Amino acid sequence: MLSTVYSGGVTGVDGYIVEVEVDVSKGLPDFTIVGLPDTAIQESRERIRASIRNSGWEFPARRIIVNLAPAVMKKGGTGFDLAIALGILASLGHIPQDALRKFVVMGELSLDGSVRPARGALCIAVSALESGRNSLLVPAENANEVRALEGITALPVSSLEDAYDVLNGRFDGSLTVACKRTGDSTTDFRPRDTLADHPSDSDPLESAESLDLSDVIGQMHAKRALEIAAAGWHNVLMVGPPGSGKTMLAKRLPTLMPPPTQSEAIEITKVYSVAGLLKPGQGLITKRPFRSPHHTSSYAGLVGGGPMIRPGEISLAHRGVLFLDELPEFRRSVLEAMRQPLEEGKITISRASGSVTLPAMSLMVASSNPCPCGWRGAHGRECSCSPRAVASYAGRISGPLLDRIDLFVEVPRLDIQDLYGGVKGETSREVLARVMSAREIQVKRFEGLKISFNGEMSSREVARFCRVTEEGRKLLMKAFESFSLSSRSYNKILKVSQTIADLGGDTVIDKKHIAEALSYRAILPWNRRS
Amino acid sequence: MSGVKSLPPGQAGILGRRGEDIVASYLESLGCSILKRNYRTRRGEIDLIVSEGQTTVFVEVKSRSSLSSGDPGERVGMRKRRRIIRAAISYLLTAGGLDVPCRFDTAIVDFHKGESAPIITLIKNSFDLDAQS
Repeated sequence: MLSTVYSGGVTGVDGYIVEVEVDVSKGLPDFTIVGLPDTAIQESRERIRASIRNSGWEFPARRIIVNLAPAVMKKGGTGFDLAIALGILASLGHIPQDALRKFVVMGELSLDGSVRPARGALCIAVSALESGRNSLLVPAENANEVRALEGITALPVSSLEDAYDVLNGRFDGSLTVACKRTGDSTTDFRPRDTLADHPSDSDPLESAESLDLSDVIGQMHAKRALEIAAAGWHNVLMVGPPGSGKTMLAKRLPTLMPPPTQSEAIEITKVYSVAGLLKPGQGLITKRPFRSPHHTSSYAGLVGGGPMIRPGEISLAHRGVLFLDELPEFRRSVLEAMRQPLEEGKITISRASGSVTLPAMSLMVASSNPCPCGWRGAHGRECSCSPRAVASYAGRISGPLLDRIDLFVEVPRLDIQDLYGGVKGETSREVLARVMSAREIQVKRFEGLKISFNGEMSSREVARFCRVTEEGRKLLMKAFESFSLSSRSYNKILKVSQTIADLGGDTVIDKKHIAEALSYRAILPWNRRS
Repeated sequence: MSGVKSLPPGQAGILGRRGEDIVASYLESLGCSILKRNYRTRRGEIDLIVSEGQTTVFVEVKSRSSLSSGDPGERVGMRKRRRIIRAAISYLLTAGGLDVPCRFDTAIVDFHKGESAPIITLIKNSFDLDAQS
């Protein structure tokens, strides 16, 4: 007898609905899965056999054929286990077909019949909604993640028997379910509406709660640069000797950014869901991610890849901050691969099997030493590098990558007096208020356009939106001549000036804005080109 | 298989045949009717083919004596499975088609020192066509 179960697969971060057709017929006993399954799905036969047996049913001595439609798409992972098992039970008449058809089912089975969390549950839930299906049967651990979606009814199940009970109407529909695996005796799954006032307590990212901009003493210039970066989405490069506070500053950048909106939070959580980085029972990620990959990271680790194409660091930093410490130490191929995502906010990975596009709208903050030894230009320390070594160090960062950096800022080493008597400056909260108002201005400015930040403006938009006073224009012309600026740096300066003006609440770009923007031009060995 | 082979020459065959007899009469006592014994084709063989109601059951009999040790004998190796499956297909084709309910069982017969009554363990649906892949 044929039965159909709806389940879902994921390519990149986009889910799609898979129709799991299960045909159980007479004939020599067999169990085959077709529809381009990968090894994990092939192995699911063993998990399904064992979990059906261990849940108290007999595994049928029948000819079982499972088809995962659309059969042309390659499918992978363990998320189809539960759907296939339920399909078999439905074909045997244990579960009413019409009840089963109402749900989109996902989850991995373990040999004892309990259900393990599925990767990409949120992505599948989104695609389920899009295709007009709003009832989900999800592993208990995925329930909070999926419930964040408007209009989704997700029933958490912890075992094959749970699912059987639900589908036979033997579940009272209450949403509080004992969660086996998390260790807590009862993990309370709240209904959707109360979830909002209960933001996810656990975060796969470093807790930014305790960080504040005022932790960093001095470095006013760098702090201001971060403020501009956060307000107008400008990429930053900080140059300074070891121990000057570059990493400390970068870590505090997320505190200057407004919390993600609901739709941004869904985008962020989708990436983490696919990457399998959500903790069991975790809901939406409500903080901006801060990712700091080590400079030895591989191409696939940073950009994304692997056989089923998993998101890399650049996608994990989506809508947040990607901190590249020691930028010149990164592999050249890796850095070059960053160019497209920095430009377009997404990364397309092409394989023979097809191409996948992952979101990668991250604010890049890079740091570098001024030279290989690190002490060039520092007070009281000699730099031991030859001019040639300095040049080759700087040359490791290609021009096209530097073009995507709007703000260059020097982070000098502080003297002992500075550390004790230095100014703490504003708190993150104070700066954030200005950033938020600058963002509001930008939202209005770019209404109806694809971009939403000054940093994303092309030369056409710069010409359209940036209005400069006569005095400002004079200063710009002067700088243009004396520094022999390229037209690209001209645009960069205008973009940064616009953000500075927005931060001050000014409607036109004036001399002072241009002057400040000019201070974030390339410094040290890097200024030889732009 | 391995346990039986460790017996002196000649004995293995005798033990095997005794096991098949015992299983056959056991299955008959359960209400099955014997369709074939030692069904052989060029590509494979089956110890017992019985019908259990509507279902055709292909039974592989594994006999072991207390002399044998180690391998519990309940695993039918991949090669053996393949031979059984091929024989089953050719049997079904001659018997009227593949579209009938059927099953592969394994029966294990334990001879305890040849004296006391042998113990029969019947594993229903012990494998399926997966073996072919």
